[in-house]
Amino acid sequence: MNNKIISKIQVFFIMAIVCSGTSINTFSEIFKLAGRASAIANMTSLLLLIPLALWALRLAQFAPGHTILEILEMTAGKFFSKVACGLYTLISFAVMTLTARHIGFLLQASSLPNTPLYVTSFVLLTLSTFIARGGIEVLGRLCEVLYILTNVIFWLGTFGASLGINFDFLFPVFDRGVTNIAAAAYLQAGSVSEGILLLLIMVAALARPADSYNKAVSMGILLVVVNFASASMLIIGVYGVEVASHFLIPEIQVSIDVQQGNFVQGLEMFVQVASICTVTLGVAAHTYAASVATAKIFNNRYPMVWLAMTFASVAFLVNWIPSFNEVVLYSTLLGRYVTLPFIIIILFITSTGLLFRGRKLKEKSP
Amino acid sequence: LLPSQKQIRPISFSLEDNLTFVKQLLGPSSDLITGQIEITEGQFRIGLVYVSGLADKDVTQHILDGLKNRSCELEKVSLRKNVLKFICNLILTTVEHKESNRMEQVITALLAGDTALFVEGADIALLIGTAKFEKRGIEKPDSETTIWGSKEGFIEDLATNITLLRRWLPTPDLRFESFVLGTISRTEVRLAWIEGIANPKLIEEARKRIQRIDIDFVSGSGLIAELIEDKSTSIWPQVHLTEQPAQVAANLADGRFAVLCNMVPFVVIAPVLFWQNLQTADDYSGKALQGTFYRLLRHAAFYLSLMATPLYVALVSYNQSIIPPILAMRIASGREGVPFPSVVETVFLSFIVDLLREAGVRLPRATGGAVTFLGAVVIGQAAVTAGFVSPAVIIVVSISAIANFAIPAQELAGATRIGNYFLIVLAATLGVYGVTIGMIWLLCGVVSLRSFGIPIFYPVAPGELYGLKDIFIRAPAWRLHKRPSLLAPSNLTRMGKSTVEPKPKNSPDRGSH
Repeated sequence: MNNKIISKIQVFFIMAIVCSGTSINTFSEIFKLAGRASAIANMTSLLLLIPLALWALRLAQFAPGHTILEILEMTAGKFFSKVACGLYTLISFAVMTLTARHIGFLLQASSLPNTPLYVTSFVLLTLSTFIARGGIEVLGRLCEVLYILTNVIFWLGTFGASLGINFDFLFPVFDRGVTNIAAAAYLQAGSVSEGILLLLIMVAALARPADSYNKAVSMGILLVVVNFASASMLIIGVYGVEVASHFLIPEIQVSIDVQQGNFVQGLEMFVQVASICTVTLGVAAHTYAASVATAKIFNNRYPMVWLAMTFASVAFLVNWIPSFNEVVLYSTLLGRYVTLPFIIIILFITSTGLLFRGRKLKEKSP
Repeated sequence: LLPSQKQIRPISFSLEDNLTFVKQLLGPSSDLITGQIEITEGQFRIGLVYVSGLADKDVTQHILDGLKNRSCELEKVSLRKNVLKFICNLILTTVEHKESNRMEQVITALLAGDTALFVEGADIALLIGTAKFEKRGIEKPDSETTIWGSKEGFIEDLATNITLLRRWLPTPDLRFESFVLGTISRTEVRLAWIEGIANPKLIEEARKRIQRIDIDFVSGSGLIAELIEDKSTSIWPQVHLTEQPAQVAANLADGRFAVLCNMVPFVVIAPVLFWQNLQTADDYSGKALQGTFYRLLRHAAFYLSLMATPLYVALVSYNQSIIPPILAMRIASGREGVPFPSVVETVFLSFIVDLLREAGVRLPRATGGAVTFLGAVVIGQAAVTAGFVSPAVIIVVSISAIANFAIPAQELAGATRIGNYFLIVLAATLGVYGVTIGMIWLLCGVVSLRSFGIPIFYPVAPGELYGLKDIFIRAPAWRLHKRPSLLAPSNLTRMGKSTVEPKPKNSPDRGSH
């Protein structure tokens, strides 16, 4: 594994892919909370996400070539850093498990009803580990190539549904209270913040993070959120909030219902392909990040061993979750109570440490 | 070490010793000719050695005649070393020659077709360039065809190939660096590049990799390519082999280097980008729009060749919902009575197509095409009639095979076939999920590859907007005014400003009257 410098465009696409992670599992929960204003809630989450991302980049500027967890070690000491690395790894495992489980259920629902889940998850995790082994550089290039393709395929599969939009389902937009919309926005921010979780590690591969990559990171997050907002509008427009909030995999449902004449049908395959690409790259990114964090606990020794351990742990955990309802529940809990608070705490401790020990750090850094 | 390599030594003062040594070393070879001329009634002698099939008899005769005719003048030369100077200045005035005091150099030169001249009492031999071999003429390359481009092809003679390149690039900046590879084959190899355009670090890396080769026999430029490329276990091409001097010249002008190998008409070009395998010289000879159309067609051919059969297997076996009902019924009725699952049919037919193609390549040109065509038609028809395979599989496999023929680079066409089988297996196991996973796997293999430090998926990944003008589309020639930045970072411009603006601003048809 390596820490080569990656370009702005690669960072943009990595963020756009990785931020999609478990958000697909929390779709229905956001519909329940924000109702017709789900798209608004999605967009509102940017108010939390972009400042957090910029905060992480700003901190990384103090010690270029180092992860935020390494900067935490410089400012708050080894103990805090090792605890943070351990928690980071656990959260990454959870994210990987939930996204891999999502794709497993999606495949069972759409095309592989008889294939055991351990087969699909094993294949996915093997490929993700293979990609992660190539480091952030290979991941960046893959995201660069696949993101646009994935988006085109996804919208090819679902765009036809826009013909069936009933505007009565969309307007009036605000049918829930502000608290509900805020809660939905917070949940969405929590789900999308998986991208920022990766950013805490990825900053080590950015040259002058805050000066050069602010725009790329912000635009990547913006693109994901706009995509989710558009998809929310489409799903609610077609089915209405009440029905949409009961779908477990709404994007598949939308594409299944697209049918034009005797020729255009079965477009769920496109959504399936798009989801596989997104999830594979997302899991690969978190595999990379988790193995870097684990290696950090053991002073960066045996990185390949930690990569293999990550693979084995997630492969075990994926088969441990019995139902899709639990995937949705855990994803909601993760988004609401774990990922975002963890990121905020890490950034806060690092910043506080910098305030107190900043001068010393400046002297140490090259 | 071989016995001949152990016996390296300096040249002796004794002519007899030298001639005996050469005879012993080369063994009882009937084509080894040795002769002696006595000057001043045997006061000193001159010996000549050459290999009859390799040396030009006319030149050796000219040397012998010269020595005989000028023997009177030679008698006056007192010092033995001056004899050599005398021969060089008066007899070998128009013949290439050099001096050597090492016997191993003499042996190498003899086996390359030179004539060695020894003088009794002198520990220096004169190596006279008399090499002359039979060689074929410059012809149209068989492996690469072009409609509007140059029809010249390289041949097996290195000197001729260098001349062909010099004719394309008559610039003093064109450099050729010599290497001799193979302890047995002693194959001459040249590294070619244009000074001032190619990145010096790239040339240094190429030089290092060629120097690193320690092998006994060089069978061709393909072997050299494999030994110098970054990851030889990958199925994707990292260097390009071509028979066209025009293509080599164009690539040198872009900042790449070429490796020419004696006895082989193929030249290695590196670093190569993945997209180059889908480009032809004709893209730049015709109109830009036309070039773009055919380039997109070739891109489609690549994806069809790779994915048509796996997608068929996946859709028929797992993802039937996307197939329109009428088509699904047609496919089902065609499969009625076929005893094998679709994956077996597909693999079997793909294998037969590859077999026919290989047979067509190995057979003589006159019969090869006919055998391939007849084989495909007869076997295909018979297989459907006998109920071994369904008609739909024949169509899909044929589309895949034809698409594969449309890929210009043989290296990529071969890789695509391997990738195709890999995807068929995944499609049969996991349907569209398997095909997607397989494609990401193959893509991961490509994007992680480098050719001499340059990512082969550049300028798509890592992305460079300017570079995309000549990847999926072929932008008008005047828009391609820069070289690829990773290849020639210090010399990017290849067109002057006057070329970049194709229309004069005060053109009369713009209404100046």
